[in-house]
Amino acid sequence: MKVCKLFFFFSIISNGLFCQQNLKENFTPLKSVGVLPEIFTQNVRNIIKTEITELNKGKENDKALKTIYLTEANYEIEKIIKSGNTLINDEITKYLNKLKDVVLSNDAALKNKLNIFTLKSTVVNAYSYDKGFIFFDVGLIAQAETEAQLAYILCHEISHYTKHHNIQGYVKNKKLEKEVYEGKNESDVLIEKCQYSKEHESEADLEGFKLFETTNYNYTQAQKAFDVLQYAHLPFELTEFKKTFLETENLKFPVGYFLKDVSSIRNNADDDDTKSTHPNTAKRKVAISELIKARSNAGRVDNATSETEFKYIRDLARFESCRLYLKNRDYPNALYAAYILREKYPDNQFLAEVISKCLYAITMYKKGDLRYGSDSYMDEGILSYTKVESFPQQIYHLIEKMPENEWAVVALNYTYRAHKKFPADSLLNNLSDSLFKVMSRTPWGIVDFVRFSKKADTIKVVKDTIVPKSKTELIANLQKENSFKNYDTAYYKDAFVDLFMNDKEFTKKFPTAGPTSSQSSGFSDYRPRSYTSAKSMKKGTRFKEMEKVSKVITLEPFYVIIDKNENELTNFEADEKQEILINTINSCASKQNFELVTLDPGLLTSSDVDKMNDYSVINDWMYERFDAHENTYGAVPIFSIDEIKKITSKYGTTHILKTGIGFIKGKKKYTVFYAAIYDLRTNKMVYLKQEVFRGKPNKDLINAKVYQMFYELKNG
Amino acid sequence: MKYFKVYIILILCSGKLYSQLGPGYMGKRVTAGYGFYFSPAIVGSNASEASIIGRGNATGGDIAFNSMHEGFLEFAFKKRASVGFSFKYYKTTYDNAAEAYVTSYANGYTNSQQKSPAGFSQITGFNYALYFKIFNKRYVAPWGRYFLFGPTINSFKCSYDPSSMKVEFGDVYNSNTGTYSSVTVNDFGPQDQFFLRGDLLLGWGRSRIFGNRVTLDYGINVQVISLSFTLWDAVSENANIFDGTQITNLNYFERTSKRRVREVNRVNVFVKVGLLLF
Repeated sequence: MKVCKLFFFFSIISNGLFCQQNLKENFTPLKSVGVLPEIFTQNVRNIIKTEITELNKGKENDKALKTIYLTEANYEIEKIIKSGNTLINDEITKYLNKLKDVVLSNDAALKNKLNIFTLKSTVVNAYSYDKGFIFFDVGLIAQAETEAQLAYILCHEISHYTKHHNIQGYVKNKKLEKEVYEGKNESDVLIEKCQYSKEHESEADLEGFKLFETTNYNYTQAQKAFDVLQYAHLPFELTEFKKTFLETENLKFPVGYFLKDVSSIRNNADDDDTKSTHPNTAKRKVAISELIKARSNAGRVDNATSETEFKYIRDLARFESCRLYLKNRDYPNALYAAYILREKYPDNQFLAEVISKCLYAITMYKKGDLRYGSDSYMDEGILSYTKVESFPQQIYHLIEKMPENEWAVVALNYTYRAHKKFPADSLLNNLSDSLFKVMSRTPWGIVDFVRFSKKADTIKVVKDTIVPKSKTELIANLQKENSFKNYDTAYYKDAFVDLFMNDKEFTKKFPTAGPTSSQSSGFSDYRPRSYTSAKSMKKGTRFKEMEKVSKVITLEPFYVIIDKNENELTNFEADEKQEILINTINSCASKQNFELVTLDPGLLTSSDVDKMNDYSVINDWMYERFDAHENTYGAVPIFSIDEIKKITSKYGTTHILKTGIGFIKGKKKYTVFYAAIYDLRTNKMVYLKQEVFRGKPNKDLINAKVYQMFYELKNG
Repeated sequence: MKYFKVYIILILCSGKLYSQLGPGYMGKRVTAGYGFYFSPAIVGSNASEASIIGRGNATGGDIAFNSMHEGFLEFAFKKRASVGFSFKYYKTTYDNAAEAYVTSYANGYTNSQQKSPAGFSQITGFNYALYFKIFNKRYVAPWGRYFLFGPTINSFKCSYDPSSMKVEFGDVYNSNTGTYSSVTVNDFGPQDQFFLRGDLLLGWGRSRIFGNRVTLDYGINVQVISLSFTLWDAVSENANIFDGTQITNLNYFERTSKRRVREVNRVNVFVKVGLLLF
């Protein structure tokens, strides 16, 4: 038994020591591990009721406003916690908690009150709530230069918590908003609100510094942390984007595709902050520098734990950022981030995948097969290079200047070689197969790329046999030669020469001629299934060509109440109705022997961390899915998720159900019933119901619609 | 009746053959229940011998309603369609407001007068309807807003009590005695007379369901032919306006009861309560 205990002990220790990812080879997207904290399993209504009871016991001012605050803040925290974007016990979160231990080594009581989580977001930010929840975005960790900078930001957030800025800000804002109704100028109120927020931020800067002072971190890093925030709109590192990155021996880009000089970075440190919630960086830095002046930095360090660990954690965040950029369909940033990381990790498989995906996606974008949705983070499409600063501008310039078919060549060239480098990587294989299909949609076939040897001969013949006799004859001859040269010496035509000569697989897969009559979307290998016409989709009803479905993964059903005279009870009411809706869904499904796999973050137990991760994957899938319109082939490519196969085989279904009720209260009442089924294999919506009814969402309405939905799914 | 059965079977079969069976409400497709129909008894008098406009268009009427009771059975055979059979029963009266051209042969003289008979005639009606409910888009039979249509057969029995329903001729001269006396005519044909008429039922309603079992159905329905006769009934109370044929005591029931039955069936508001059986 002792031996057994020792074995377990060592295995736990070893897990702690050796669970780091080998980033030189690959990267696995971040996942939550261990036991879910209480906040994940508690009923938010009970928490709110308890807190309101506690509030009412005291003799505080503005109880009514504070009651509303407690309700709203708790629901907001619940929304974040259960969004699927919150990481628990992963390496980054553990590291942040380690920083908490360092920063609060003298205050165990405060340490226990705080819960730090990492959020899967590229935003460069951190924020705290009065309940002691502090959230760090992955984007912020990716940008930090030292551990001390993160520690100072943590101190700043802790100060917001200890000073109760959140609730004070809420009460103040509500009072100011009331003044607008009483006739005060709206702009003046906004300025006043911002001023109050800025006072809180300045206070948190100074109080945070006091806490920071108790540690052994370098004071100057507190000041530098503001630089990180100031340049948050730029990538986490700035390195020249070299022309050679996508070039090979036989593929050399024309000089015109690259800018001679990239634009300079604008210094916005002293921008007008009148209508900003935070003081401008210059002011914040000055305030901190005043404090630093009087203090000695001797013996203080940039990293209190270890520099290696900080850099490893930061790299994890940077790798995760690549995936998150893909999720946001921000391909230029994903490409640039992967480019930076590739300098350090040239043989990383994940980076090869990210770059291939970006090139493929940019090709699709250029070809018009990938269109951003109106609610997308990039709803206006990829930015013009003129709006981008510094080195990343080269990527935007290249995207703008290089024609779509040449992108197909570049993407195939990179992806196929990556596939050869990582032959066991099925994703790269599928991507390159899809790109062969994209090539079949270009005007070029195999013959256009194997003229290398012929070209030289032909030109030689021309030169040898024709001797110009007159000026006009000479001009005609030169024009002929030039046009031939222009065509045959197009830089991309030699791209695959070595592959045609040495790689039978490549030659076999390469399309023999130009575009075929039955054009392929180029997605079919990446998402292995044929596509039906997008015209079969009819809004407001189910799809006519729908296959029968008898099992679905159901995500948290929503119940939204929109009320113009919204009060604090709306959330409660919606919450209660949501529970009824969940019961209805379960009972209607069971009556028809319809199998439901519930992935609902609202119904998790502490041991359901795997379900939480699966929910997170599907949530990311949904996010990316909705970020783009279906193309003419009825498909939407998904790039950030590679674990869908695992999930579909784990749960035995490829379909996910998103359903819910919206109730619009007003003079006239409306109820909206929404249900959509997506096929995770094809990324296609296979069923949609979006129906509006006059009146309240009565029980018979919900029962009838939910039952009908399952009936239609089951019977096709 | 045979044809009627065949018709129902064909309807049910076509539902099965040519369309997918609908989901029903929570899987339940058959509803049975009771319905109550009512409409204002403006003229004519209801079962309680009351009408809103008083007898003979006189003032001093009451707030009065015609009412009908219904038993129904419905089957949802498609997602948005159901077929139903209903049997309605009602009792009403006719205030004999129409004047009859009555002839008496008394004392060797023939006396003719145009007069409204006294008393009330009794009408008992039975309506049989086969109807289809087509539910609005988004709804699922038997729940939701719908439009209904179908043929209906209105059968009714008219009866009268000769002791109260009569026409009296006052001051009829008797040449034998040289005196004047009154003569009573109470022959309006057989005391029980049966009539059968067809009509087309149209309706609009909404069905709610409580506790997944009880249905509450409310709406309005009309009988198209009866409705189209509204103007006709208004102008031809005493005589056919086209050929001028008078109502006589012998065709009095035939002419007046039909009109009364049309009034009862013309437009009705209904409330039905049913049970979702299976």
